[in-house]
This record gives sequence, structure tokens and C-alpha cells, in this order.
Amino acid sequence: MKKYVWFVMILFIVQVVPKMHVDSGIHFQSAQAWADDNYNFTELTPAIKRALERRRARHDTLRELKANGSVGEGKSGHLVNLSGSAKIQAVVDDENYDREIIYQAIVDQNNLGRGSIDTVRSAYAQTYRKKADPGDKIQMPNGDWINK
Amino acid sequence: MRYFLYVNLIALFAVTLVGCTAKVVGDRNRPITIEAHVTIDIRGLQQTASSIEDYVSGDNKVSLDDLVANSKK
Repeated sequence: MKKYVWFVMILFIVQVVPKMHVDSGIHFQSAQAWADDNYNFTELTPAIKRALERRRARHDTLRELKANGSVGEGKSGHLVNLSGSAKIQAVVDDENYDREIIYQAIVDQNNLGRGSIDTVRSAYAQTYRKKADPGDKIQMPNGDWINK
Repeated sequence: MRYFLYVNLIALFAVTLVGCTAKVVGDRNRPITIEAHVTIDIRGLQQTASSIEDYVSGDNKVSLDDLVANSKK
């Protein structure tokens, strides 16, 4: 009698338990992001590569525009046209388009959650302020524009 | 008594062959959503931003591979 019970129990554990699939019906909306040393890309997609290369190619032009005060670094991680020129606005739009590709990729590839994009923009804005050359126009977190 | 054991045994074999799925399904009208708390290390973001900007500015010390996590350098 006892050996049958043991046999059934062992058979259950060996054969059935590994096949059991429990779906609790609870799904996480956003993943936990752990504090890490950095938030690098996990994969350089063609879109990210193109955005980085376009930004690199545009760098010298923007350096000149920053130096003469036509553009400045905004508080939200975007370049801002301070000149009113439509031609400069086109350059600014292109730059901000590429920046957004990078911000979104950082959020997506590091599972930071949809609501984190503003945090990423702010962190990048702080880096742009830090890396700005003396005399460049930068916008502080309170909205004030200053010459660095 | 022995009869019941045999029946159980046969039932168990049947379940084993077909596979077993235990599924707990909640109320569709009241879905359970857990908002996970996301902790972001701002310094980590700035560190990444700094590397990207170094690359964009033409710094030859930073390559595309440096911008990828766990890349082989």
C-alpha cells in the first residue's frame, strides 16, 4: 500500500510538476531599473548609429552657432534657436530629432519605463551645460538663460 | 482500495501525457497592474551622456563600441 503512494508521489513530482505553468494574471507595466554605473546602449541599431553620425557631422556647425549666440542649450536636453532664423531652426530641428532618437533608445534599452524620458532629457541637459564652452548660452533648470 | 489506486495511477499517466497547465485568471474588468518603482541613477545617465557627447564632438578616444554596454574593446 505504502509503496503505491510513494510511487504516485514520485511520479507526480518527476513528470507533472515540471510541466506545470502558472499564470498569475499579474503583469508588470514597467521593469525595475537597477542603479548601475552607466546607462549605455545595449545594441547600436542602425537608427542610433545614423543619429550619432549625423550629430558628429553637425558638431562644428553647431559650435559656431553656439559661439555667436544663435543657439543655446535648453533645460530639457534640446537645442534652442535664439536667433529667429528659419535656416538655423532647420539645423536645430535636425539636431533635436537625433537627440530624441538617442534619449528614447537609452530609455528603451535600459528598461527605464516610459515615464523616464524627461529624467533622461534633464540629465543630458545638465551634461550639455557642464560641457558648454565659456560664453555659450545655457538655460538653467529654473528657466533663466545665462552665458556660461 | 487497490482499485482506486489503479484509477489514480491511470489518471496520473493521462495527465502526464497531455501535460498540465494550472492557470489563475483574474477579473478582466479589473486588471491587476503593478507599477514597478524605477530608480534611476542620474550620475550614471550623465556618465553615459558625457561619453556620447565626447564621441559626437569628435574625440578620438571614444569609439562607438565604448557606448555599448559590455562591448568587447
